[in-house]
Amino acid sequence: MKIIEVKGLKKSFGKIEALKGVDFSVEKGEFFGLLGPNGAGKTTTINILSTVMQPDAGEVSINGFDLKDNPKKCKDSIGIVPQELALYDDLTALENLVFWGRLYGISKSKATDKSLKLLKLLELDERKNSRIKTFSGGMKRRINIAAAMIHDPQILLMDEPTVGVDPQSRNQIYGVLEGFIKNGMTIVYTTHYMDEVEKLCSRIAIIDYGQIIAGGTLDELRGIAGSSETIVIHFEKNTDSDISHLKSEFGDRIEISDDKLIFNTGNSKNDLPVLLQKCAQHCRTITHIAIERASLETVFLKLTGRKLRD
Amino acid sequence: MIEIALKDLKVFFRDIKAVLLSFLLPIGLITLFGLTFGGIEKRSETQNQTAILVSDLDSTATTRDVIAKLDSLDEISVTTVDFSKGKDQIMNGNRLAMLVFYKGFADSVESGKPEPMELFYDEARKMDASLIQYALISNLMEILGPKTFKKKIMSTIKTKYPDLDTDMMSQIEGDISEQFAPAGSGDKENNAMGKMGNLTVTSLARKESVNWALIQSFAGTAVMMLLFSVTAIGSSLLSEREDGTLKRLMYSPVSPIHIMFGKIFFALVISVIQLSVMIVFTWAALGMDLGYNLFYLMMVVVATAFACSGFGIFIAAISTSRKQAESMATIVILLMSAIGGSMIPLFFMPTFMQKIAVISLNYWAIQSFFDVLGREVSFLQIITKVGVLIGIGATMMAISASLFKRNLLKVL
Repeated sequence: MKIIEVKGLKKSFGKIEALKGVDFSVEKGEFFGLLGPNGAGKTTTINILSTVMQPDAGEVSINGFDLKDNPKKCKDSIGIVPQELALYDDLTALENLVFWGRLYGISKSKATDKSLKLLKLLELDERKNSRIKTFSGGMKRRINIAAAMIHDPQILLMDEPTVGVDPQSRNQIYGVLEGFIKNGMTIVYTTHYMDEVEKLCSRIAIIDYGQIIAGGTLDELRGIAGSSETIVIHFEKNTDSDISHLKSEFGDRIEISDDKLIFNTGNSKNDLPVLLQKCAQHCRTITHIAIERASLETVFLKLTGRKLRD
Repeated sequence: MIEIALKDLKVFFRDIKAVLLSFLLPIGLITLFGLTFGGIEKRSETQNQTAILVSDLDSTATTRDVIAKLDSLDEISVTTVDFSKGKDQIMNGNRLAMLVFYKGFADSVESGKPEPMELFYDEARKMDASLIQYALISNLMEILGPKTFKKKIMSTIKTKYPDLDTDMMSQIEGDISEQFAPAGSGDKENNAMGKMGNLTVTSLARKESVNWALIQSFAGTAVMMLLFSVTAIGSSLLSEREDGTLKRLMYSPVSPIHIMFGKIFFALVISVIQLSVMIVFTWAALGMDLGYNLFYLMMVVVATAFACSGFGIFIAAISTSRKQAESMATIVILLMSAIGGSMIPLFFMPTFMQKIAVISLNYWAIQSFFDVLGREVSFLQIITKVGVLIGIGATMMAISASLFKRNLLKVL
């Protein structure tokens, strides 16, 4: 069942076309990643889905409700985790959560009960009466997520929720999100961290210049990009041989540095012998060979022609 | 809306600096201005007296009598001093003025000639000196006037009409004495002093003994400080935009207008509390009278708080950042306070400035407080000024609401 359906979404800011007809859909219970560089249109898409921005054209359906006709129902269905730590520093963790719950019309006692459950789930119940300003960055991020969950939404829209979070806290957050998914929640996740998308998302849409340029599972994207595997050959440093001409021979499929060659391929069995022969011809001493499945970074580069942080 | 206001109140009262600035600073300033304008504590007679030096170079019974009469006056206290020492004290700025009775003063009084006396004063305190000069002239006229005028007239008659017989001269002298008898003695109707009369000065107020200086200190300071406080509250909207909490508020089902009115409600509550605390302090600690009707006073408090809240939100709505709002607010508040009577009482200002004052919020608020705390005017007069204050607040809020979406909600 499609819980989010987006068709022909367009949005311009003056002369700048932020979205040029975005189409995608998200299944109920899915962990959906929206991946794209800065300015690609991710946040504009999230803002439209969260009903705070009106699209110029296109249709959006959330949890079976049309966004234009039923924005209130749509708002109730979604919880949003903004990029910013949108919390009140002088209020305690519990007060913050109860406040956000009250804005959704939840009674004080219910909001308190729900807040305490969320704090326990996020392993912050011992700090419930501490002011937010005394929390670490990772703890604040977890409260930021809890604030979006206070009204029991069916969909969680997360806009780069782990920016500036230490690895330990990130792993904690991943664990919590996986728990949400197990309980049937749908998550739409935007991030710059490729490893997060690879680790968490069951389906990914790559957005660039206001358009979805590819979508599917990671394997499907690898197939679309024609680079399901990566051959990595390590050399000894400081040899006189020059293999730079391989770049002109293989084009974008190959990346060469002083001590390493990375080759993207759809068929490593065929390409590996050729590569080894070329290296041998140029008297390079190979120290290590690895065949890896193509990373999302590689797929992204292949599809967009640029790195995610460009 | 209420939830947003309650949250803001909670946040506000946890910020010790904000609380101190909002309550203790105005209280301190009211006390300071009260002292400056002489509104605090009823002054004793000694405090009201102006001290002057007197150098008696004539040293006669007449001069001693004049000095004693001057010293007995409520408004003047006299210290006799050596002439050169007195001059030094004035030039050093230690004393304001010295009255000198030169040699021959008593003879001049007797002969009806101009009395040789001189007032020396500190050039740096010209204004104060002019006041003492006025006080001295009027009092010396009263002390010496009848005697010297009579002598001068008699001397003129004797010179012009040397042939008049002694009886006639005695008759004329008797009539003149009667005319210059002190006011209140003899036939007042036919008394020249009585006919000329003294200008009787009487202040008009429905209530006696109103401490206007203290009301001025309270109202002027309270309104100015309140404007600063509500501007900070209005600017908190811009802070929320910068922190991202405004964005999250917009994600919730609360409408943008409710967010704005939540802030206004918070500003209103804080303003009413702040004004009430200042009133209670000025009443309890400085002795300000609470006026003739507490309900009217509360009406003025709420109307002033409403107008100031509108101003705070308006400043936030027309600004693009907190810094911009704070700079703009400081300029506008200082300007309004200067022309509206918060910094300087209106009666010190030239007429055209007093006319301009009506464009400032401070003017209407201060005048309303004067009405309820001192003038004891009718309900209609109070409601008129309260209406103006409500009108100012409502207009600013209406403009803010229209600008709110365009400026403040640019969070996306």
